[in-house]
Amino acid sequence: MSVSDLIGALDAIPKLTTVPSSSASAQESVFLDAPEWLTEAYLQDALRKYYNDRRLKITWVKVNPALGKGENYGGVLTRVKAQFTRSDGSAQLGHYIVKSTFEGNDFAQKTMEPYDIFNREMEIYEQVLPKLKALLREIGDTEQIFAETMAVDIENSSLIFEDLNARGFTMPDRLKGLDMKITRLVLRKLAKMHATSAVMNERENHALEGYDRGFFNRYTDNYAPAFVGMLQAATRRVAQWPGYEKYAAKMEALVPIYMELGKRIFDISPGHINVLAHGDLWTNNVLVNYDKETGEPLDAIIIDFQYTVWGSPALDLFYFLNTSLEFDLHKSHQEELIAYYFGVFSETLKKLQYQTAVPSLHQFHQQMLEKKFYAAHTSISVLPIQRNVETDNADFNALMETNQRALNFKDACYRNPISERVLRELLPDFEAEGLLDADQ
Amino acid sequence: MAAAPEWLTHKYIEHALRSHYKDDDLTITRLQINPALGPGENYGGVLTRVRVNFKLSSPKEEKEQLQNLIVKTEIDDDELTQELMAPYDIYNREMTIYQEVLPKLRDLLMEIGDTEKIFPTAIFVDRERMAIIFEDLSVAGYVMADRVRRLNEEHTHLILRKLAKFHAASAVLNEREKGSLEGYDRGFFNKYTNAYSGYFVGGLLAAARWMSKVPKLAHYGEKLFALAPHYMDIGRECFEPTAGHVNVLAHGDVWTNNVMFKYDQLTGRPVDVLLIDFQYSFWGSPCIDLHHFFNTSLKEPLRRDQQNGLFQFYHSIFSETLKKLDYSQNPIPSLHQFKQQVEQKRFFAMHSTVVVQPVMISQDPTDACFNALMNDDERGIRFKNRLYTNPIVQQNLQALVPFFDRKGLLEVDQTC
Repeated sequence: MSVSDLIGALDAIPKLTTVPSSSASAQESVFLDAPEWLTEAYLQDALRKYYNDRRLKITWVKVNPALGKGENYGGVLTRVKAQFTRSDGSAQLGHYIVKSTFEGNDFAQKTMEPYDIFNREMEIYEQVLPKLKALLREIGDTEQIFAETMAVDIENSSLIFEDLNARGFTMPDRLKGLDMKITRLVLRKLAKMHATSAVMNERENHALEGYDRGFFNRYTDNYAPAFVGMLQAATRRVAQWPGYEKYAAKMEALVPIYMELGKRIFDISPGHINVLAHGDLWTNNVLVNYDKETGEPLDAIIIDFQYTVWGSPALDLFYFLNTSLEFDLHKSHQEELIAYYFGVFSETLKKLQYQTAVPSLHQFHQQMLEKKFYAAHTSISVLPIQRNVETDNADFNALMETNQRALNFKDACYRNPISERVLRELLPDFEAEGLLDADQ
Repeated sequence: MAAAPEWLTHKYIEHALRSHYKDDDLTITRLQINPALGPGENYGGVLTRVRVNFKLSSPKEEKEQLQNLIVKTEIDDDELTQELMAPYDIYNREMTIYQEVLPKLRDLLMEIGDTEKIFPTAIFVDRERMAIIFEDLSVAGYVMADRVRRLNEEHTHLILRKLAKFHAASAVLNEREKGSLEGYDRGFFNKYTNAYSGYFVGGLLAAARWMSKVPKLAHYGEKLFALAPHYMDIGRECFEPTAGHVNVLAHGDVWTNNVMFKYDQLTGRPVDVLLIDFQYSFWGSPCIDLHHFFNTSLKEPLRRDQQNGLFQFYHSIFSETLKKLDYSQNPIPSLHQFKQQVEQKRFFAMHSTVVVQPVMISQDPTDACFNALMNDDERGIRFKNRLYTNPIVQQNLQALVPFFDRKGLLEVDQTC
C-alpha cells in the first residue's frame, strides 16, 4: 500500500461530529492518533512563531498518522492540515509533517538511546542544513535538497516541516526499485549535499566531525541484533539453495566479525575525502515530484537525518545503490552511477573553492572500493527489511529483538522474491571479490 | 626468415654442450641448423632451431643422445632501433634471469615439494654474443597457441597457476636475498627512457583518430587526445611498486606468444604450459602481468565478463604459495585487498586493451615489423591506423572504452 493510498483511506473515514464552535468554518478540528502534546494551541503557537505573526489564528486542524507499519522504524510521523487566518485577514491552508519520538515503547527508547537520533536530527535541521543551503546559494544554485523546517521543539523532541506531499511530492513505492532517472536525480542532490558539507566542515574548523554515531559506531552495538540477526536469517535461507552451500558457510563465518567489519566502514580512513553522510538514504527517505501529465520525475527531496554521520561518501552511495534501485541498476550499473555522482560532487567542490585535495575519479573509485563491504552488508542485511511485504509484524521490536516473533519477522523478509533474487545473483559477485571472507 | 647467425657453428654448439654437461670430451655426431620464425611472429629476437645428436665421453656409452635446442640471439637491427632499444637492455636482462634467477625460483618451489616446471631450462648463456640456448620445447610437444583466436578458461587457468607460483617464489627470493630483485626497473614504462612512446602514444593516437570518426565514441576520442601528452608519465607511475604491498618479479609481457602449451594427444585438451621470454621483467605489482595477460590474450566473453573469477583463482594460489614459503616481509593480501591493488593498477588494463591488443591480434602483415611499430613516420602511422580497422578491435573498444571511462582511466589527472 502506498502512502497516498493510506492517506486516501484515512480521508474517507467519517469525521467526528462535535458541538458547533463559534468558528465561521463548517469544518471541525480532528485529531487522530496524535501525540498528546500536539494540540491546536500548540500548533497555533508554532505557526505564529514561524510566520512571525502573533495574531495568526487557526480555524481548524486535521491531524492523522502519516505512515503505516513497515514504512518507518525511526519514530512517529503525523500529518497536519491547518486552515488559518493571518493578521492581514488573509486565509491560508498549510500542510505540515510533525515528526516525534516513539512514545511508550521502553525497549525501543532504550535501544535507540545511544544513537541519539532525535537530538541529532533536530540539530541538523536547525543548525546544519540551513548552512548547506546557504553555500549552494553562494554559487547561484537554487536547487532544494531538503524539506523546509517550520519548527524545532527540543522539549518534545519533535520537528515540524512543510508537508511536501501537498506540493505534489510522494514517496516512491518502496517495493519497486528506482529507475535511472530518479536515481540520478537523487544522486545529484546527494552530491551537492555532500560537497557543501565538506566545504562547511572546512570553513568551520571541522565542526561536523563530531557526528560519529551512525548505524555502526564505536560507542554501542545496540543494533547488532538487527544486523547480525538479518545476516543469520539470510544464511538460513541461502543454505537451503542447491549450489549455495559455500556462500552460506562464509556468511556463517562472518557472524563473529560482522559488527567490526561494519565499524571499519564508518571509521575515518586517512587520505580519503569525507562528508556529512545522510546515513540512511533509501527509497522511503526520498520524496519525488512527478509531472502530472507525463509521469516523468521532476524533482527529489531528501528527508530524515536521524543517522547523519561524518564519514566516507561510500556510506550513502553503497547504502542507496544497494537498497533502492531497480534490479538491473543494482547489479550492473553502480560504477557508472558513482561516476555520475562524482562529476556533480567534484564540480560543486570546485565551485565552492574547497581547499583540500579532491581525488581524481579513479582515486575516488579506489576509496569506495575500500569500503565495499558496506555494499555486501546492505544488499544482504538491509534491503530485505525494506522490501518486506509481510507487514503485520514489521516494527522496531521485531527488527531488534531475538525472540520467536523477531525471528519469524526476519525469516519473512527473506521469503520475498526480490530479496531472493538479489541474494542469488549478487552473492557470487561479493564472494569473488572477497567480501564474504572473515579475514578480508 | 632471418638467417641463422654465422657464429652458430659445429664448434660453437659442441662447446655449449660440453659446458652444460660438464664433459670436455663430448662429441657431436650430427647437426641440423634452421631458422625458426617468420615475420610478425616475434619482435624479441632471432630464433634458430638446432637438432643435435651427440655422445657423452663416459661412461662408455654406445648410444647417441638427441637434443633439440632453440638458440635465441639479438636481432640485427638498424642503428636507430638499436639506439632506441638500448636502455631497455632486454638481452642482458633475459640472460641474467635465465642464468641466475629462474634456477633459484625452481629450487625454492622444490623446498615445498612443488616440482612443476614453470619455464624452460637454459642450457647455455653467452654474454659476448648475446645468445641463450634453450631446450627446444616444441620437440617435447609444446606449441604456441593461436594469438588471434586467443585463450579460453582452461588455458587461462594453466597459465595463472604457473604465474602465481612464479610471482610468489620471486617475492620470497627477494625477501631472502634482501632486495636482490628490486633492481629490475626497466619494464615497458620506466624512468630511464620513453622509447616505447612511438608505439604506445602512437597507438593511443591512432585509436583516438578512429574513435573520433564514430559518433558514439567521438567524445572518448577527445579524451584520448588530451591524455596523450601525459601517457608515459601515468604509465611510469603505474609501474612503480607500492611500499607495503607484496611486489614480485613481474614477467612483464605475458601474452599468448610468450607461453607454450602441451596438449593431450587423445583428448586435445591442454595439460601443461610453460612461460617464456623474460625480456621485460621488472619488480612491481603482480596485477600488471594479470591486466596485460587478460586484455591481450583472452577470448570473449571471458575477458569482458569473467575476470572476477580469474583474479580469485590467481589470488588463491599466489597467497597459498607465499604462505607455504613462509613469506613475511609484507602482509599477504586478502582477496579484497588484492582486488584493491587490481583496481589501483587498472590503467594498465586500459593500455593493454586499447594500445597493445590491436597489435597482438592483427592479421594484417602489411608493414608488420618492429620499425613500423616503434616509429612515428608515415609508414608507422599507416601501420597503426590499419590496426584500428580490424572489426574485432573495433568491437572490443566499443565495449570496453566506456568501461574504462567510467572508472576515470581516460582522465588526464587520474594518477595511478
